[in-house]
Amino acid sequence: MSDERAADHPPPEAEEDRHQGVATDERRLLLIGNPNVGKSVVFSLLTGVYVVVSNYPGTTVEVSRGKLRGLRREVEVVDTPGVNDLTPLSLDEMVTRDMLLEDQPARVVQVIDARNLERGLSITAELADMGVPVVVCLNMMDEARRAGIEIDVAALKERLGVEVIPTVAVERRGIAALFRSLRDARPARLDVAYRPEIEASAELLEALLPEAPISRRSLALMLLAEDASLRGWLAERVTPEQLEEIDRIVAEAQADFQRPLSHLIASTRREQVEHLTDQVVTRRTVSSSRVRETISAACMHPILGLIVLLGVLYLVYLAVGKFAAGTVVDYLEGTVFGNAGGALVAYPPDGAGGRWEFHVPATEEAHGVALTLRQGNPDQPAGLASLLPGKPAPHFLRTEESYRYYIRLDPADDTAGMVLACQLHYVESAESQLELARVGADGTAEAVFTPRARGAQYSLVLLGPGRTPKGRVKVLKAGIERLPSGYVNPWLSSVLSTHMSRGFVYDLLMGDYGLITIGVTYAVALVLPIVAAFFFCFGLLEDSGYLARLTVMANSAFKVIGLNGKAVLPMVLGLGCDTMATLAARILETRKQRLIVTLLLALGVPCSAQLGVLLGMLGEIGPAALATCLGVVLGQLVLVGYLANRILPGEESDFIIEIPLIRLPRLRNIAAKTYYRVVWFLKEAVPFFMLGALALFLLDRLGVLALIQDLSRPLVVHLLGLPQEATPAFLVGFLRRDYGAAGLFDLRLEGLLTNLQTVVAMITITLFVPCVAQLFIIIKEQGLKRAAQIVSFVLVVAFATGGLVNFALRSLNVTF
Amino acid sequence: MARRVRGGRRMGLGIRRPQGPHRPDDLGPTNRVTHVMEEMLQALYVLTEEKGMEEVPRDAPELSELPQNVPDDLAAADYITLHGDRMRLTELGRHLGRGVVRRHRLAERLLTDVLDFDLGTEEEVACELEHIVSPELTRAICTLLGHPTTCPRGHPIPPGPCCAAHERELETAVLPLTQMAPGERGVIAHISTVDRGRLDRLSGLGIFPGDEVMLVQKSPACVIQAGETTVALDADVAGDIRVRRLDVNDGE
Repeated sequence: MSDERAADHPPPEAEEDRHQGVATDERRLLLIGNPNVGKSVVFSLLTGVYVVVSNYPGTTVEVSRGKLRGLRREVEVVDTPGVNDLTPLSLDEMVTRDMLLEDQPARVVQVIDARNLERGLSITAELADMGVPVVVCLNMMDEARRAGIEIDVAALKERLGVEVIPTVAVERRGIAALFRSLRDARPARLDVAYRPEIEASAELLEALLPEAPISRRSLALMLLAEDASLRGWLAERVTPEQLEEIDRIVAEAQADFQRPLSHLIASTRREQVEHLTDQVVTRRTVSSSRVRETISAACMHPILGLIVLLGVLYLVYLAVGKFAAGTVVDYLEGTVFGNAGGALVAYPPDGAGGRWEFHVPATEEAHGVALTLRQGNPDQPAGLASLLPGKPAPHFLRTEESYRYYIRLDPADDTAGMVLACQLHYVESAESQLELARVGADGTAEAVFTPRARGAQYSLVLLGPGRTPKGRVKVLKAGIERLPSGYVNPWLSSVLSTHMSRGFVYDLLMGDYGLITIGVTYAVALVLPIVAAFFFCFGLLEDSGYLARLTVMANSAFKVIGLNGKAVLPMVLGLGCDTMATLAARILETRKQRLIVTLLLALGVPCSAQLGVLLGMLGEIGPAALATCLGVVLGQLVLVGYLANRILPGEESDFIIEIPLIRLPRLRNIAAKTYYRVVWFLKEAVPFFMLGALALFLLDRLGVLALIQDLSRPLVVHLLGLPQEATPAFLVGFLRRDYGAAGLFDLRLEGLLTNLQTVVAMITITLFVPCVAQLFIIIKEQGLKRAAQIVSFVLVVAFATGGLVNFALRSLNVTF
Repeated sequence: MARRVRGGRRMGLGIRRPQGPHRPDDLGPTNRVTHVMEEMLQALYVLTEEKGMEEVPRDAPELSELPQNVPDDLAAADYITLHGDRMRLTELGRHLGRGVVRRHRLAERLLTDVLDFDLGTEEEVACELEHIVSPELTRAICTLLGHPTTCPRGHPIPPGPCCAAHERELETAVLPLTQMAPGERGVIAHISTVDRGRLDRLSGLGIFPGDEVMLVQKSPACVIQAGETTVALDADVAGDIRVRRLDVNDGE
């Protein structure tokens, strides 16, 4: 191990001239290795660019590229997805193999987990068959030693005929030696002799194969292993007749065995590797870490595991749902972005003047109520506009903002002693607040208030002394407006206002559906903190090794719906943000599984924003309502998943997953990983948030929104048994799921929704179409046709379920 | 490395040149069946039942090593019917052929899994055994091996009455991994699937016949440990992994 110690302090810059041997002909350096061997850490040390480090097989789907450090000449370093076999079984493995097939020659740094030398050397054997120049990086030497595994590095180097560098990459040990060895990369000597039948067929195939960056023999072996992924490459390079001949030889070779040739080839390779490792590895029995084992066992225990699972989910909820979605989002949305100001409720609506005469009953003495202006007032119907951000629903009154209320009466009337009261009812705390302003001699009154808590229902009341001339007052103007607050939006608004008139372009950017008011604010203020918190938690779970154990816990439940334990990842992500989760469905192996998960996410997995409103609203009604809603939604997910599994073509895949060691996560890795994932997410998703805002802006301008609202009204009223005022809430739900739910919340406060109607409405809106950003991601991942099918299906299921629940509850006389 | 013996193209059918004298047949209803007749029935069974031929021409290449007059003997004994130059198995013939195939492939399993013969060298011995193994012995072997469903090359083993009845009273030497208790260790005898994806994913994780594995737990999913690799898998995948149980005492 002296090699390793000598390399304790890598001075890569000083190495510059010594490793110039690299890249005289090869400009690419591929990092190849099994999953979870520390490839990405080695990559970051070689390039200086830190990338996603993963503990969960299959997450390094995207390939990271960098430039080799300390070289004047450009050498591209590529971090390939983890592979167990270079004859590809998964997309990841195909990506890696295809990179070896690229025309530009490459050398390879193969990273091997020293604890698991055999599995690493199986890949070395494949690389040897290919004839690719290679340097072996024997990583995690410390863990191997702790596990009682000693590797005779010198002997291994001698046997393989290539450089073998022991490293502990997370501590940067051995990296300098790795740098130095790069120029000495050469093909390994690990010639595996396969069964004579296979060798004979391989020889026949070699004669037919085209020139390639890797040896014909290795290509022949891949073909014999029935590697379908090679066909495309091959078809471009040989004649159809040759291809036919190749197929014939492969079929003939396979005819001898019913056991797949791929397995025979892998077995032979493994036997010979075993023979080699027997000579260079000594094992001592070491009592393994009790702590680790206990934790590991508890996480996968049928009962204890559930408790751990609930605990973990609760902590994630605290971090994502409470802290990120609550505290941080409020701060960003309220204080940083803020708003450009605007009317919440106003009379007359457009400020164009006019008068409203209000009769005071002659018998009413003392303090009579003279005027009430509030949301939902029949003269001022709670329309779409008042529910939307920009003119947000009262639920979204913020403690960081101030509001002005005002009135202007006809000074000709006797207004002496009149008082304008602004009443606030806080939805979450059931408290109320009363602000008063005396009407002056000129007939006007105004004052500013700041909400004491988040979310409020507001109304304006004019209180009179009891005697007014002619028994009436004329109101010229009244309303509540939001004062500009925060930094970004008011600033932008003022900048834009000075440069353009408030017309189409201004509205496009800053209007109710503006690209900035909605698109950017939404993406940065709302989604970003939630996603970042989620990725951070996810990284912790991943690096600690818990995530793989979570899939073990979830496996049997997901089997019912044609998925396996791996599907728990996107589903749990969905509770954070469905848009992000839809992207994460990529980790699943078959097309069918990806489709089922996408469908279920679109159908009924509430995102954190929606979940908050749902829990708050139904929790208030009582546990029976909450249980009914969650039960119906969950039942619907299981039913649809089950049926989708039966109906959709395609195959399930076996649940076979490697369980990594329980490790203490390194904060640095997680921070870096979170950063890269958030950047990735923003790049993938933000354009779609913008596009969504744009689409809604145009639909609104073209009057399509109003049309849809009119068309869907009968459905809402007759099928769901809801008041027609609920219609806009569904429409808004498409833009922002929580606003949709919040719209219903307001109706409830108005007394327009009974408990039963609330339950029906919440079920329907939870099952209702995904938000606009998620829709675009579905289109991107599944194609327009599939997306249209998914949305229509979800629409039908949502309304049918809502209608059915409505009918059933009414028939059973359940009112909650 | 033990040397591999080249098997040749006939290996898949498991047919060898007949050897040795006649023997009383204790499986069939008659004792007039000769080794060559058994070989022919075996070949016909494989060709019709597994390769999907309806009738087999007398000059089929798979039959070339058997004497020319065998079909006539088989027809005389009502094991086949002759349609010109083409042969068709009767119900009786099919039954006998199936028995030979079963004995042959069980013998191969016994030789490779338990007696550690290399694949290739076992063929010749199996060809001997298939003619002399009695029904009781066949059943005992089948049970001992845990009622395997495929031969070492992956060809299906026709199930016998013992498999159908699930006669598992006998402690079997080779059993599905899932039948061990958590904490028990075993050596993988074979992986009883021809599903390529399944096999390749297991081999990708370094799980091969001959490896020692420990069953960590069975519920909620099977978790096994092989060397430094811990793997969680579905019960049906784990069930495909057949192991020889290791006594606690003779471990390591």
